[in-house]
Amino acid sequence: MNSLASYSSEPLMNLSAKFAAFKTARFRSLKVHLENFGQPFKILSRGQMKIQQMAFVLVALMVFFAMVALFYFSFSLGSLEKGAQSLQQDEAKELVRKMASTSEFAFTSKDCSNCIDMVKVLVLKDRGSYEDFWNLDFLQIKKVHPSSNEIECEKSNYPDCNTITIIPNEEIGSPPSAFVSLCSWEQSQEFFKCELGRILASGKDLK
Amino acid sequence: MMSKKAQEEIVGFVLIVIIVSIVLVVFLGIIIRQDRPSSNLESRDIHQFLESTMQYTSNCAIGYEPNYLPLNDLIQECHKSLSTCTSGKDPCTVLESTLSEIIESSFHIALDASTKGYEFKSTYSSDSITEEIISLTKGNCSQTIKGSDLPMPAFPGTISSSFKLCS
Repeated sequence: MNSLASYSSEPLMNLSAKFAAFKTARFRSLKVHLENFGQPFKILSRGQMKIQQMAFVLVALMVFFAMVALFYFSFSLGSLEKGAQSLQQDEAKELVRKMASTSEFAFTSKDCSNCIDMVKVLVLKDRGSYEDFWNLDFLQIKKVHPSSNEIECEKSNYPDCNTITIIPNEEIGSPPSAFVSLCSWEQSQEFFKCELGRILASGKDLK
Repeated sequence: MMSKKAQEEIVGFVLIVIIVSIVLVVFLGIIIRQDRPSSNLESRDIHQFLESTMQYTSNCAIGYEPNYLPLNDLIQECHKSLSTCTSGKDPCTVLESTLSEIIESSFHIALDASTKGYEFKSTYSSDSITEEIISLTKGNCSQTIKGSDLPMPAFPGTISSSFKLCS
């Protein structure tokens, strides 16, 4: 029993000494704290200083990451708008390209995917019912080569002209366009002649 | 003891700098990858230009008039070098002049323009040989901005025509 008491009393003694030391230190810290009351940024002890340092670093890191995220979202939103615009343009160009292969325009006398029959186009120009057929605001076919003065084509002056406007619109700036072959029957020498041209279109679907 | 504390501070500082650098690198990487220009659609424009150009009826009639050849047949005729046009001109000369006229009237190419030059090339290639049929260049072509190829059958090989616009 005695041996047991001596065995267990020694750590107890150490513990009470440690507690006394802790109390003294805590009292000293509290005293310092009370002396510095009203000066919140005065560092009280090394542990508190470390915690404060860590808190500042964490706050700074949070602010930094928030700023990076803000920059990222502003950039990505900007690129999203750009992407939407370019997708609209792509779609518009795709539709313009498709126009040449529609049966209303296609030149079928030879195997050519983007050849336009100029006679068909001249006939279409005079048919007002086709103005709403493609849901377009503007549709024009222009000769690029051989180049000539800008003269609107009519049945009376064809082929001495270079533009056929099927759906006219004066307010169109620079609509999407695609290269096409403009083919027709050359009456004087009796052969099919193809020239280089552009098809320009703009409308509700093509912005 | 003080030097150990200073070392700890430096390690912390270095860690923060590394974290910040990694975040910046990732951020810049994302931004740069998003801004990479895509010339796919523009190349399709050039492809359509090439297709339409190849259908263009030239002034060169072979054998009789009005057997005027489209440019794709004129390239083959130029490669074979067997006949001349009814006008007496060489098919290659007609091809060269017609092509340069078409390109000049289709694109605005100048030193002060966004397109500073072009390069057109037609090459015949078969299992055994590769021959250049025609090559047209103009301006400074150090950097290609858009271009496309158009292959055509020319038994026993193929003729490939390429057109590039340069910035």
